[in-house]
Amino acid sequence: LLHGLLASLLSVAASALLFRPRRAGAAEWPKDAFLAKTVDEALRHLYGSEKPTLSPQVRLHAPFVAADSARVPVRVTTTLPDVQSISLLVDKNARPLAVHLTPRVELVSFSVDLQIKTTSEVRCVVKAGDKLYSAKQTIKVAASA
Amino acid sequence: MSIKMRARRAKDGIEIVALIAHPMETGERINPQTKEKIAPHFIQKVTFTRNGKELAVFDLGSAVSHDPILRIKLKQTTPGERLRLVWSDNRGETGEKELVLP
Repeated sequence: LLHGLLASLLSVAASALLFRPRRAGAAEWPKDAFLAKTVDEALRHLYGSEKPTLSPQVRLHAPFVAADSARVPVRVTTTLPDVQSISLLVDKNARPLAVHLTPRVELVSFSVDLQIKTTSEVRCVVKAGDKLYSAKQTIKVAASA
Repeated sequence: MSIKMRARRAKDGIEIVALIAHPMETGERINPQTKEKIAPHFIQKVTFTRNGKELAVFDLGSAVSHDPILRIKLKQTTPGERLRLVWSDNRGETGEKELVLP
């Protein structure tokens, strides 16, 4: 009995250790990544040196031409399993990182409105199964204030 | 600041739409009168929970629109579950809203 108790205690301790880094990562607002001035810098703060590969399993649904640069709806869907995080970046914005999402359950899709200062590439980076995947699209902004 | 939130069933899941009234000031805009930069004021974190368990955590940057609309689509839900949204911004202000899923 004592043996079993010890084993369960150990496994509880182990799982606590395993879960801690992920919890801590999600609890803190990733300041360095959001303050980064380039896409590469932001991605380095979020994911280290790994480079995402373009994948047809990540889909970005956004207008080709933005009617209102202050409110551009962008929707992301992915068929990748085991999604750990999803980031949305606007290349030409002063601070490219716009959204960093950590899903806890399987989501079908999500969408958010972005401010896009000028015609720019918008990219979505998905971390799934410890690998990085991405999709990108150019959104044209006709005129902005 | 007010939040409007609703849930709608669709073929492939249930969509939650949340509109949060917030200026989402980037800190990059310049006041035309004083020529000074307007201080940043934007939501940094939006957390969705269902019956107290986290569904999704959004970390937002200043590039998100003012009065942002967030949508998430969930696969499986049970009617009567309590869905809650909590946000906090860079000034430490917070807001929350709860709804019962249809």
